[in-house]
Amino acid sequence: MRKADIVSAVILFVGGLITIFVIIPLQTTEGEKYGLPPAFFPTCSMVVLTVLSALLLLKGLFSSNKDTDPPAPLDSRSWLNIGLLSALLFLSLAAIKYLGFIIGGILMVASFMIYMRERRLITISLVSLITPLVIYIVLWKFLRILLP
Amino acid sequence: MEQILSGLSDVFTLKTVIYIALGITMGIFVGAVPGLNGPMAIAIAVPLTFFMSPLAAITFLVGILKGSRYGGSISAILLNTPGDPEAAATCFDGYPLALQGKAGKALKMALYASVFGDTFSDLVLIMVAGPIALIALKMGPPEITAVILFALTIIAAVSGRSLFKGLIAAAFGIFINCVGLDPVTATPRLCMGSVELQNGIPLMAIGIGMLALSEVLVQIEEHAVTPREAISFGKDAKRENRTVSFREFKENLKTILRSSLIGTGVGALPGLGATIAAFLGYAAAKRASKTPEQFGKGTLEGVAAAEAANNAVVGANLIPLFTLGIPGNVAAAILIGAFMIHGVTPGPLMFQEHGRLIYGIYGAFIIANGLNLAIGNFGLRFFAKVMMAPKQIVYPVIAICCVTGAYMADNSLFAVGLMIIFAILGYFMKKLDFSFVTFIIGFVLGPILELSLRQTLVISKNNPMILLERPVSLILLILTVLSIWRLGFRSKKVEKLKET
Repeated sequence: MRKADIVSAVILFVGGLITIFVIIPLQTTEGEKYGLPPAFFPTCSMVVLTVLSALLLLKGLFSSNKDTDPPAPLDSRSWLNIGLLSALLFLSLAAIKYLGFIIGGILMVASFMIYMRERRLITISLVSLITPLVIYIVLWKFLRILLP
Repeated sequence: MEQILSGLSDVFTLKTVIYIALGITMGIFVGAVPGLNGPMAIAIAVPLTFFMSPLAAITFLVGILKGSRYGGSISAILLNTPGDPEAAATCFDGYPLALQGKAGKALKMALYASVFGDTFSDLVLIMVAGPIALIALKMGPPEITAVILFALTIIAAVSGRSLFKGLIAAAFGIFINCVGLDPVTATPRLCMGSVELQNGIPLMAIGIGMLALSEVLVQIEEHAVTPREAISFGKDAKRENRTVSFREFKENLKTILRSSLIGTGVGALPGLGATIAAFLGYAAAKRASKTPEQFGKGTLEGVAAAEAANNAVVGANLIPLFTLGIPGNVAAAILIGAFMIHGVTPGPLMFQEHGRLIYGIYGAFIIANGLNLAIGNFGLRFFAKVMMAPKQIVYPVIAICCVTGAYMADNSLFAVGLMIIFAILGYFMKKLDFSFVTFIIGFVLGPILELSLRQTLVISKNNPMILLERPVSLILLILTVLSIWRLGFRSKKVEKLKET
């Protein structure tokens, strides 16, 4: 966990500096002379974040309880898992966008079920077909919401 | 008086009662299934409330919260796995009681204690919210700024293991809220050239992503499996093992009252939450008991203590929300979104502008407790079955519900994309122990903090020292510094409590 804290503190610290000195000036206007400029509040919050990240980094570097440190929260299996699941989610979003909610939804539910090691074809077919269909029909019939 | 009667008459309609009952049923269901929880269900359900009246919407969502708190005890008692983290203390005595063939008795005691604790805390909310709101109405921008800073610090300190990480999460939440149009000049701010981002990032995209979908991602990775067979509490058990007699309830009344008080006190403070309340209630009951050695081996007192305390948090958690507009926990933060959708801004002004709604909500809370008792009693067998729902079906269905909810909240796939991004961010925050609760509360409080800070600086001609010149804001800032010192650097008590 200590190593993870150090790495995340470094990322946050560098990200904070880039945001303060590059992103905020580029993405905000000067504002009027009266009152505070639009950049004031985002800058304040980012300064707080950057300073705290620096403190977290120092705390991680000079931490005394190295022996009792809990294990790293993210191992290679976690990275693979979140990578695959993120890809699945964005592919499902693209499928919903281009093929519509029902087909995209069927693909999404089926792929998640397969990923979760469901191997019964009938269960996969029924659940992945029924769920998006029921959601679509209920929302349209009762709430007049048309899904894509 | 007229407002009270009108508000109560609004509640006693078939439609509102059905919505409350639906909310409670949904809440008990999600509470009973390990891995699902109340705030997750509330986040997904908020878009469904667009089409309800404000009263029906709020009571439906609070019904989910009330139901889920009790629902968590079902799997705690029958599976030794708390459906909700809040029910962890219920396992200590609930499961041993179930092993002794007294699962029905333990579940009934959990239900009665839950409803008692909940009603107690609702009554406290009803009695204290109005007077506190009157005081809050007298506060100016410097005081509001100081109150928010104090609340954020407390929440950051107690929501995670590290104060630094909690404050980083809060600052990041506040920063993310800056995306959109500047509230004073109406010029785009941090929009990266995107027209969609000019409306800001929708709270529901963040809520659903961080509370629901990120939890699905974590559970899938941890290979959440369908629970093994639960302990049966069928009709084959003796009657005395299936029910709680009046005498048994009376014997535990003192414990239930004590825990209700503890839960209410903990709930009224932002950030502490029901898990801590349940452990404090349990520990206090053990200390006060004549037979402390029975705790952990299966005593009704233990179940009653934990359940009354964790349910008493529900109503009390709404005290800071109703009186100051500050959400004490993540469920209250999502409720702010629901209030806003219906044109109501939580805070002291709500008592002036929407008095009828407030009394309606109060009435609905009491009805909800009665319905919780009835639904919990009659539906016990059904919820015990639902708890065994296969995870490889539950999580994919929740994932598609998240997509639908995010789409409904903003009527765009862009919001769904944002929801997925925040789900991934939430996954990393959970893994790296950055409090997503503080992030969401920072996001929700960001606009109020910005507005009050800007107003403060305008009235003081850009002199921030005004915060130290006004007595109330000075006291609150001193308390903020002291709490950082006590909770962040000195005290290990909270850390120890969490580790338990």
